[in-house]
Amino acid sequence: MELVSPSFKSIVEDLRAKVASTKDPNQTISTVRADAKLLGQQYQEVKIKDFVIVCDEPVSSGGTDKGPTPLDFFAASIGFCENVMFARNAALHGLEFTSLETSVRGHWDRKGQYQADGKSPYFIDMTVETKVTSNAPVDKIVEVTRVAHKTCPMHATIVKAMKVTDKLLVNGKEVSL
Amino acid sequence: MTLVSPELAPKFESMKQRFAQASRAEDLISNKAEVRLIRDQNSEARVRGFTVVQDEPESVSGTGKGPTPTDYFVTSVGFCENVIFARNASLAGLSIDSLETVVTGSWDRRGLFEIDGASPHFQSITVETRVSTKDSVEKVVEVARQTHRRCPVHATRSRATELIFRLVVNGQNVPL
Repeated sequence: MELVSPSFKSIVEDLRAKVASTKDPNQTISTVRADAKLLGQQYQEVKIKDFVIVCDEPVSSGGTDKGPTPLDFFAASIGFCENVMFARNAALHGLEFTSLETSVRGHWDRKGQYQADGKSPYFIDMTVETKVTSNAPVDKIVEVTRVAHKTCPMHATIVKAMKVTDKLLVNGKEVSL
Repeated sequence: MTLVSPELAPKFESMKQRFAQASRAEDLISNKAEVRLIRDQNSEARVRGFTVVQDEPESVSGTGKGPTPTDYFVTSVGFCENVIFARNASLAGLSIDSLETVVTGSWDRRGLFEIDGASPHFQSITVETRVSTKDSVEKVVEVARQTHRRCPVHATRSRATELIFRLVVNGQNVPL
């Protein structure tokens, strides 16, 4: 089965045309919302549309390990966003690929959780590794990856906050970005 | 009834002491997500043995099988704030009858296609902490302030976006 439907390109082109034709800049501002409710100890839920997202901490941190942690969701949101934008830009550029996986890894100082030694708990760095399997020319994959990074809301946000290292692996081999 | 068990206070105190005494190599903690595209706009993430499903709505070429990436981002902000609030409340002896954090974030969709040179980064994020408690408002304000400083997601996004905070205690707005 193909990873991207044949009709996907025209859908993305329509999406782009719709945003481009909007004259009032206020109409292109997108707002997202989450209501996070603590249900007990460290266990909590967010309801978005018909979805319920559950979150917990490991037992070692006072939780019951019934779901991913907040930082798991943070890292996942970056990988999800990158995949969405890679698929859209691949469709626009006519790039065919057979697999796409984005690995996201970040570091932060846990002393910051308690302001020990005056530390802040922000993410110090993040590595975003894009792994693509494709028979297309490497140059085309590099181009799509670069545009995906620039047009991804999460990537555009994290580069303002920390050191971000982007890596690209094509058919298992690292390629310069 | 309090949402956080009293026996957690010594556990969080012990965590605090452990982190304070940890060596530099032990301080740095890593978070990782492996995110695989399933089809079109639908991906699955593997995080510490959990599987998280993401999709886009049908209106933007998805199949609506899960929340969007930006839904997960604002969700992570709210979750992180609640975890840290509960820990600091526990350490400060603040009882919590209910705790809900509402997060809204805005960004420009033109950035998705580099239209008019717009960037798609989050321009502003509002965090509203809603607490019900029998304890003093001053104590809640103190814990809310500590929470904002000590939450990893909050500390990260404060370096990237405009932040707006609101605190609601027992249904009343309180200055932060």
